[in-house]
Amino acid sequence: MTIKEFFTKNKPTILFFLFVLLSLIFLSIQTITEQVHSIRVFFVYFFSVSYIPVYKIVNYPFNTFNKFLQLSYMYEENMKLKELVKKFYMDKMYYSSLVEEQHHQQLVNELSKNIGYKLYLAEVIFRDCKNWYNECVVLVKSSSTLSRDMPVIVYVEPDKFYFVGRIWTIDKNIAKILLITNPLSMLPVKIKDKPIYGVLIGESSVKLSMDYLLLEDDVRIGDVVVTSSIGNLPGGIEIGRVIDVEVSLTGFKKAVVKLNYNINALKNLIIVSF
Amino acid sequence: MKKFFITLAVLFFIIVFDVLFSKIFPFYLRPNLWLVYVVFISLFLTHTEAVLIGFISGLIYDILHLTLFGTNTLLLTATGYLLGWLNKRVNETLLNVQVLSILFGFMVYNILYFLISLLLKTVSYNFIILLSFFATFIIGFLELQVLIILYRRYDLI
Repeated sequence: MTIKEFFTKNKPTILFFLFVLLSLIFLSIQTITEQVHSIRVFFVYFFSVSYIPVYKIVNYPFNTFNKFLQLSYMYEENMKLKELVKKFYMDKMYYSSLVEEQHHQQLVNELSKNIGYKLYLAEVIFRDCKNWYNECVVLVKSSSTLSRDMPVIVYVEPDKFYFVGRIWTIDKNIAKILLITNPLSMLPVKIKDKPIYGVLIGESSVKLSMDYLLLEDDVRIGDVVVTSSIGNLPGGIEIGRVIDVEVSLTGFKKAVVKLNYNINALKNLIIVSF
Repeated sequence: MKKFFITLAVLFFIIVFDVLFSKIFPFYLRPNLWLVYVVFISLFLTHTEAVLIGFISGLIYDILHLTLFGTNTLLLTATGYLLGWLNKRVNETLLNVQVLSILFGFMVYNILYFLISLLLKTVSYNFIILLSFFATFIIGFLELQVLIILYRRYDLI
């Protein structure tokens, strides 16, 4: 047997020993590690593009199963959170109303000092839609002594007061207001800066009629109507503006007055006490 | 030449799947695709090729998984050499032969690994790696069937 024949016959064995020898050399020489690491990093980087879809495919059933398991906990947690949100919302509303009330109270106190009258803050708590322009119910915050016919005004920032009505009935700290637009309300008024007096009568709308004006009275469109100081009302509180003048059947002049404020948006009112 | 390119393509795809499996499975559940490829070469090609592919596969395995460099080169070369003795001695077309070959290859690989860990203190063997048998067996069997189809398609076996 020649050497060539021997090699041909025992090729696998020779190769095996050669490779084993190489492997042992690899095992014994550890200095190659850094280079090997670099090659490995290259391979991992090269194939990293294919990770994402595979991860998605593999993780999907696990994620779905986990979500399913967490469903009951999530529902419970969701209910608790809803309750919490509801509570916080109520707290926030309460806090906002407190802040608003405080703000109005401070405002009323300041105004009270400036004007010289005692003012009480009142909040509209009810308005009947059938008597929308006739009456409203207010809650008086401070424990004040209310009495009938006390004037009720509304303050519009920065420095405007408008006459709203008078206290009609009282029950503890709840009072019903007779609005100026009520046909039962008959208020002695005058034209601002003119010695012209009349009676303002409500007509269940934003327009009122100022009656009993003398024929010689110089009433013009655009004149401002204010409260007269006749009776127990402070004078000079603005009400509205003349938009039309006509002669009534009674032989007097009659002026149509339009309110200068939005009577539909009454919320915080002020009760004036002498 | 055809065999060379097919082998290169197979090696490429095994690298891809090996990298993917190494990211998906923990090391003790990862299928050993290289071992199955060596088993396939041992059964269907020649003894020399089994040793050669064993060596190359081991080398790539060591590069990819950063084990102690040379361990898998030695193991897969030895596995290829030992399984290469089955070449032309068994009917490799039978499914039970293929299944038993994978099982045998896995046993040889792990026994050799254990023995080397006894001989070399730098190599450590963890018995938990035996859990990878299930993955190797299931995925390896599929891999073996794919390889058979591929090599048959190009008249290499």
